[in-house]
Amino acid sequence: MAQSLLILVTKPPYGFEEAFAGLRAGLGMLASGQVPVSSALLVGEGTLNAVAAQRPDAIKMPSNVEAINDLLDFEAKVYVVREDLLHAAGDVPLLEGVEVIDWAKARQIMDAHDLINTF
Amino acid sequence: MKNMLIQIRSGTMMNMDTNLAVKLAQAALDKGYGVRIFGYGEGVTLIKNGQDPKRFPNVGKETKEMLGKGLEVVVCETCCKARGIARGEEVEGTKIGSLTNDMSRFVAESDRMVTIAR
Amino acid sequence: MKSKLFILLKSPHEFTGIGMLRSMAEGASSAVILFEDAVLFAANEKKGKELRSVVKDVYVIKDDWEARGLPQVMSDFKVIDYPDAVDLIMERYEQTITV
Repeated sequence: MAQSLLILVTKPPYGFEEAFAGLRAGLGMLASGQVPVSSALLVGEGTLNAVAAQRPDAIKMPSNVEAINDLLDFEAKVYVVREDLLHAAGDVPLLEGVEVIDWAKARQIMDAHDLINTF
Repeated sequence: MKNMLIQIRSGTMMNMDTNLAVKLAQAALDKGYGVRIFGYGEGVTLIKNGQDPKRFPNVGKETKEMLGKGLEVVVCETCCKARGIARGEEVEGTKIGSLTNDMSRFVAESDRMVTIAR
Repeated sequence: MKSKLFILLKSPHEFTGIGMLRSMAEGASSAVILFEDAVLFAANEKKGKELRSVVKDVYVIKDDWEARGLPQVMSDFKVIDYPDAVDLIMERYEQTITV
């Protein structure tokens, strides 16, 4: 019986439905009241979902920025692995409220959740 | 009884992911575990009725045969709507539902989760 | 640290997440189950060894392997069937993570 779900986002924000679907799934868990903890961990190119200057309207796609902000509004944690972001795109500004961490911390976060759902 | 949650996000004819989901579910049921399948994204096609893939395994039919043996199957309604799949077009005994009502319950009820997606 | 069972469906050619897998598995009791085209890791000495270097055990799904008609599974990869996979997922490892 699970109390917590970690949304592990590995896919970049556009071109796949995955990242959007993952962030929305996290939100669904929190809105339900049935899963007390749902956090998001952004790794690999998934870190790009937290880039502050995204303009999804340029390609008429739904906004993952909005999805992340919605999670933060629910007081969910959104973590971004710094070394993966640096590797993917360099030191670009991220959305306010996300927590920038290293892999050692990311492993602790994975351990702290019952189930992990990859997107 | 422990429960396994399988989230399937690949379409039935994209690759063999839905076959994998069905085989894993069957093996878990045979061992006495409860199994929940949540179809999300393209994975909602698992429960579209009237599938007739001729020479490939019919995962819709295989899923139906496992219902009532400890398997529950729900897929995401928003994802169905996006693909033009309406209520009433699901395999009998499966359900078109939601993240908030159904996937969350599946998560809360499950001991392990297997994501089947690319 | 929780023991981790990774699920891999992609062929060695498609799978680009070996670094991520290494980062996630570090310090944990870990294994990977190869399904579908991921079984090709068992036929590819270079990629197979690389995979073997990041997790403690590698399991290969028997029917996917047999379907492909390849001669020999890499030594110390273990061939398993679906009931074995269920045991690994439900009992042997604490978390299942698709990569």
